[in-house]
Amino acid sequence: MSENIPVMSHFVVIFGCYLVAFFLFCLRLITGHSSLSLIALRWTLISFFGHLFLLSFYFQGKGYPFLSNSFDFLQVMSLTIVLVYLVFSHFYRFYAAGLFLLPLTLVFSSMSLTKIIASTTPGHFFENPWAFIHLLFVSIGIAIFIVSFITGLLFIFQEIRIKKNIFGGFLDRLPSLESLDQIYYKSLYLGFVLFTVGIITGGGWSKSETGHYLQITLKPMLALGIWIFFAIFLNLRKPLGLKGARGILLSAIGFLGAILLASISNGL
Amino acid sequence: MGYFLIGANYKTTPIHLREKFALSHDDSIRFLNILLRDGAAEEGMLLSTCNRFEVYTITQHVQEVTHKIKNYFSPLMSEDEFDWNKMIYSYQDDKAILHAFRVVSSLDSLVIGENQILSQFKQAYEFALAHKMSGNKLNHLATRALYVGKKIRTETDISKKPVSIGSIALELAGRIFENLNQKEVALIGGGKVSELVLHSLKNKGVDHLTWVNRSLNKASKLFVDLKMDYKTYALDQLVSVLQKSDLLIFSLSVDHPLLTYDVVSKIMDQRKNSPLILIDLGIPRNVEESVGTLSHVYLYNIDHLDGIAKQNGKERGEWAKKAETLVSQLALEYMQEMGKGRDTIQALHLKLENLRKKEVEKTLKKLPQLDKETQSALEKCTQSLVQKILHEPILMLKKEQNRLEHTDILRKFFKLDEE
Repeated sequence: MSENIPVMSHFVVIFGCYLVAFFLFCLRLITGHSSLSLIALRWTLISFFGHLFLLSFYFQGKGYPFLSNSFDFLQVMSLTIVLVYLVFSHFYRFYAAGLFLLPLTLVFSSMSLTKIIASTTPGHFFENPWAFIHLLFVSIGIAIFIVSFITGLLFIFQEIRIKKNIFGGFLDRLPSLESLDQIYYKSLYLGFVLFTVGIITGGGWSKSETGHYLQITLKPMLALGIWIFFAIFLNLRKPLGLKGARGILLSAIGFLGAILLASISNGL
Repeated sequence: MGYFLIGANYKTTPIHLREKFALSHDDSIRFLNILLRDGAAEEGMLLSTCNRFEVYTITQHVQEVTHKIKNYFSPLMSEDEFDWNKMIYSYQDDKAILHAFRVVSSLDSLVIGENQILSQFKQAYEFALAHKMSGNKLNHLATRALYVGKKIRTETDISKKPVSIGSIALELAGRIFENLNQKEVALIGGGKVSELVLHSLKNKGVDHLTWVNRSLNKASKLFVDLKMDYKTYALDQLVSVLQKSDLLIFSLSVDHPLLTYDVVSKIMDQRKNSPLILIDLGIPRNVEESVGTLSHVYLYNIDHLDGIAKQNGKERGEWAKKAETLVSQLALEYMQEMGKGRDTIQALHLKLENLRKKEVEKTLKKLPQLDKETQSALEKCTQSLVQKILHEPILMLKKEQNRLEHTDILRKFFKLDEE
């Protein structure tokens, strides 16, 4: 690695920044001061740009194919989660979801920091140009699936509160059920598109390495299974009236598969 | 010359008497002119809402102003009704300032935290300003009171949670739908409650709805007044309305529920589980309670809404305590500013006048040959010079903005605190 490459302590600083943002959201929840939401959101934005900047530097000069180890993969996932959260917060009243999404970023970020030493060895097949595209789309796609899943859980949680007439607190700041439903399905569709590209490029990678588009091993089979599940679910959602909690609970099968796939890919 | 406020509000005066204090546009001008005539009051402003009637004045002649107001209104009421001491309250100077701040902050309102009073006070001030009834002092008070009113609303949550049934119903709907004006809303029944909800709907930007009632002949005048488009349906067409509506508000008096579990369950299948909000304000209830257990159906009755109103009212009460402290603090600051400003103006006058006198004396000693006319001209010239020098600084002190800062600068600049 050249001297200009960011060292791990820089990623620890970014982790600390996200942690501060999360504490600010917690403080908002405890104290009830609405101005803290804006401070927390802005701090998350600053942390995101810091993270993006750091990862770009790291990507440029690291000396081995990017995304060929768990560190890169998990860092991209944590960055994507924050990005998706910020984008939805811009268009919807979604900032309260920071309380639930930032912990995920923190989990992925801390996992990546503990995996760094064991996973920096480059494999020759990672140098294949298909590999980077495939891994990039898969990592972003899975991260967006996870955001979608958390949003779905928030929908169910919020619906229970509404049905039981529970009021007050920071969670009242979550968007309406209608908006949560929109965020859920928009992120699900987006994740599905990226995951589809990931599967296609994965086929390309497999073909150039083994001569076959599809291998009968656990990882590609699981990926294909998840893809088929979501393809059917998204197509039948409207005709079957799979709205709200029912649809979300059903799609949880796909999410669990996606998390399993991410775990296998990262050797967790 | 100080602040004098006189008024009657919902706490002191019943509605049938408050109505008599309501003045038309022209009468308001006439009334204020009477107060300002003969110099009884120097400035005047009239705040007239459905819950209060208050006259803000700058005057030295409190008795005269009181007398004029009493004379103006006594002919409008019968002798039995006109119990002046019971109906009317009045405050002077510091108490008047504090009262004005409390009024604009809605701490003296029937519904604590309501926002309407802020715009009503602003309108009253603009009215007085437009008709040249208010001057420097009232302008200061009004602009500061408006500032306090806004500050209270931003620094406390006194206005955030709704307390009226109509607003709460719509807040509940807002937890499910993002924009109510893009949804199909149906009002089932007429009456007072429907009117309240209708007003809240209009405030939320809903400009069209479906109205279902027993009698369609009586198309409510309210729709026309509120400039709302509406379609009418007979009560036996309720199921077809249910199919295409997103939010239904019921307020009919019925013997049996209009909507049962089976009916709504069937409709939900046809609606492909599109969310449905049912707000039942009727007693006896218009919708069977079990309907609320259906997926994608959100049912609220009057008890739910009442519970939320009480909870929100309690929260507003908590915030009101904090707001009271803040208002007292801001009123004290304002009084100190006013006092400091006044003292500074007096000190400036005194200092420059003493300087002027000394210099004139010196000059006259050096020029004993000057005749009386020239001496008098010299006096007038220096007096005028002093007044001109003081004109801008005093204007600066009389301005609301940065008064404390300006006062400090002038005190340092003219070394007013060194003697």
